[in-house]
Amino acid sequence: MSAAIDQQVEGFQKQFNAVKQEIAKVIVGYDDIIECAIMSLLAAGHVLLEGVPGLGKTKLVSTLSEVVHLKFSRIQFTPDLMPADITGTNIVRESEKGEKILEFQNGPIFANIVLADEVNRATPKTQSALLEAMEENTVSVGKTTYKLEQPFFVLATQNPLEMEGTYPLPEAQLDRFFMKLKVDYPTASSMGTILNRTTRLEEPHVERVLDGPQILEMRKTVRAVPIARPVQDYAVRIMMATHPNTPLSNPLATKYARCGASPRAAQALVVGGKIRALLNNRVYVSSDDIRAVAFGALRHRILLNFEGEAERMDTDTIIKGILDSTPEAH
Amino acid sequence: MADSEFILGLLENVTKRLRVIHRLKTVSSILATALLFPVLFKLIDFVFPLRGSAVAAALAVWGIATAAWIISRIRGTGDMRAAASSLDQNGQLQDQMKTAYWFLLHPSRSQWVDALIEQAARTARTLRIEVLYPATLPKSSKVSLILLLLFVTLNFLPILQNHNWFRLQSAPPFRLSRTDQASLERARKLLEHTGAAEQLEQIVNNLQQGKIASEEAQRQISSLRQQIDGGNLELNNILDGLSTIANQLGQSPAMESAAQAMSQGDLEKAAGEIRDLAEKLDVTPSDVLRELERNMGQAAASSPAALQDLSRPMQQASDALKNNDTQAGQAALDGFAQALEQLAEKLQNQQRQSQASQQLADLQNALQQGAASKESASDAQQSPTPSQGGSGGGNSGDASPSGTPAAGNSSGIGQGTTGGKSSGTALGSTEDLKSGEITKLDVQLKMEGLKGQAGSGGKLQDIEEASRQERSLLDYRNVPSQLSPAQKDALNQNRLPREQREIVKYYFEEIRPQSSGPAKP
Repeated sequence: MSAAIDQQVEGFQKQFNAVKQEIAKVIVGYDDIIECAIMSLLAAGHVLLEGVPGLGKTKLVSTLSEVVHLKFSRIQFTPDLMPADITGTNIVRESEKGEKILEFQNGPIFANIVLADEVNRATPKTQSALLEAMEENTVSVGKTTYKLEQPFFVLATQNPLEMEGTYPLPEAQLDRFFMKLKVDYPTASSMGTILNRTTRLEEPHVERVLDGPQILEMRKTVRAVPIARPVQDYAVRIMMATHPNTPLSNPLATKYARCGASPRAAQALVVGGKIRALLNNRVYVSSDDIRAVAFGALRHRILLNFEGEAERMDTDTIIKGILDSTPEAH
Repeated sequence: MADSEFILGLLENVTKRLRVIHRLKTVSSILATALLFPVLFKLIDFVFPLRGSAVAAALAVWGIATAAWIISRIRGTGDMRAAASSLDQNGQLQDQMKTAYWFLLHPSRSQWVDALIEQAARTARTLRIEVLYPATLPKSSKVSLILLLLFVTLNFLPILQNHNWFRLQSAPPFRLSRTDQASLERARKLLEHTGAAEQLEQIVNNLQQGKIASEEAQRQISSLRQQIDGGNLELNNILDGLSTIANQLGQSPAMESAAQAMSQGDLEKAAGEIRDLAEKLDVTPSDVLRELERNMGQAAASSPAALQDLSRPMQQASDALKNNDTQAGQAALDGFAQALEQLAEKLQNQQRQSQASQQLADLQNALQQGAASKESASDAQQSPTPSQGGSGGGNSGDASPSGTPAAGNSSGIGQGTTGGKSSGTALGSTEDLKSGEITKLDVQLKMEGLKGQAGSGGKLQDIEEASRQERSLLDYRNVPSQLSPAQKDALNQNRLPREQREIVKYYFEEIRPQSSGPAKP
């Protein structure tokens, strides 16, 4: 009985590492970002990548789409982008009989992996076009609801510096991202490798190592991992500590947060913890797993108040304070 | 054994182990704190010696409190859940035991849970509890041990006033003050080589060990004083006789210097002078010898019974001179000189005993004062300046350094022995013979209400004035005396010069209240 599970875990790790290694052929120095992106894919979540231009965010997403054998589409968000440009629209077409009929033309969202590049440049109305797709995996146009093909995975990028002419993502939109990953500048040693790979004639070639059904199977494996109630409670306590006014609130959150993480955050902590447990060859979730995914799962879900904004408080600092002060599962 | 049973067995063992470790830690940490109190208590005992009952009560309360503290802290500690948490932490198992234990308590039909328990059991089999929970003494036990050693060391410290509680020793019921101890020490030194010193030692020991009460000690000291003072009456007679002899002998030119030395109390010098005279006796003119023979005969006749040892050789010398037997005269004078030396030694001893008696009186006063102050501790009318250990003890200690050393004939035991001459024997050490300052009675007279008298006008007013009966607020025993022990001794003897005795007697007879019978002239 245990052997079957062991094999399942081993297979999961193998496939995960295969994807990671393939992406690493192109993307240098962002192992943790790559890992978290794959984790989000396997957790049936979506990822928001934040970083200054030129760090390879778009390249990471396109490489991921190449590695997994899935349909990929890219949407460049601009201020004049309309929701229909994302979801698709009904167009008038002449039938073979010469009749004019309305036919739905799929938008770029009808793909397995969608890159929403510079998502904060579009208006909130357009950004909101992603809401239904990301949460319910459906698109409603007119009176018709279209189901998106699984796996469906949105990777959005945004630039934290150029705030002029941008529209910050609304809270509801942010909460739909499984993780928010901060892409920082690569190290000097990584830069050497990056230059070697990108300034020559031959470009690195990646192979497709995973397909849609395999991803769905891996998702099932993730969900099967058991978690004990004490550990689950630990995740809940962390989530509750982000709220400014609850008995479990952390003092930092009370002082600087306007709004804490939603139950989706606790789900993200648990599911992310499960994936990490599998990657660490364990069939149960530990407190360490919860802590490891806490930053990615919580940082975009804590909204700063005026004082936090004024003091340029980083949500990561609040999360660190919460992790340091919340007692482990016992 | 099934995986689940193995895990539960392991957790049970860990629980027991944790309980032992927890209890050990708790006990040692509580002791590390609690032992501070007896150590502190012992240190206090050095400064303020504690009575046995106080020590016993405090240690009993301490023991009970410590035991209660320990019991409350070690009661009902440790369960298997805590053991699983501890095991995860110590073995770095990343919540494996905790998760397995939870799923054992909350069974779930899942292959994954079965696999989890199997993995946990596999891990549990590799764990060694002895390594994860080594049997080491907690750090606080070292502190406890150090405090315990300190406590034992303090008890066995060989210093004065230390009472070993392990040997059920404690502060004596009675403790002499420094002044009293000084008095005691002086008395002890003065009574050295006599049985009285041992008796005194015994009395003080009994008192300090609580074998006798303060009153009993006072009584015994008083009895000892009487025993010592027994010789003082003889001393008075001796001194009087010496003065008489000196007066008689001084009329002879040959004995003038010897008589002067005798009158000054320097009997050894007098003996030397007499020996010189004996050597020159054969070359001494006959008229001088005649006068010497006559004076010595008179001196021998007038000397009191207490000075038989002197009168006998004097009479022999007188007889020998009368018979012109120079050799016998020389031998008799030598005998006289020898008798004087023996008398000097005897006087010296009596002088010491007298001083010792005074020290004992001070000690007795101190004891009496201590008992009185205990009885009336709340009395606000107590003396404003009660010297430590009472008036006597305070005086004896204070007067010595402030007094001026007596010069030859200023004062002494033999003061006023002959015709009001201020001469004395000046025996013993000079520091004991000091002229003290005038006694001042720093009394505070009681205030007495004086009723206002009704007069011609003005407002009737009651006033207060100092007691006309001179009733003092002070107990007479608290009035400090500036006199030295020797001076007090001289005063207490109440001796009068022989020439004045009749006058004094006549005076008191004159002032005696007239009763039924006629007054004597």
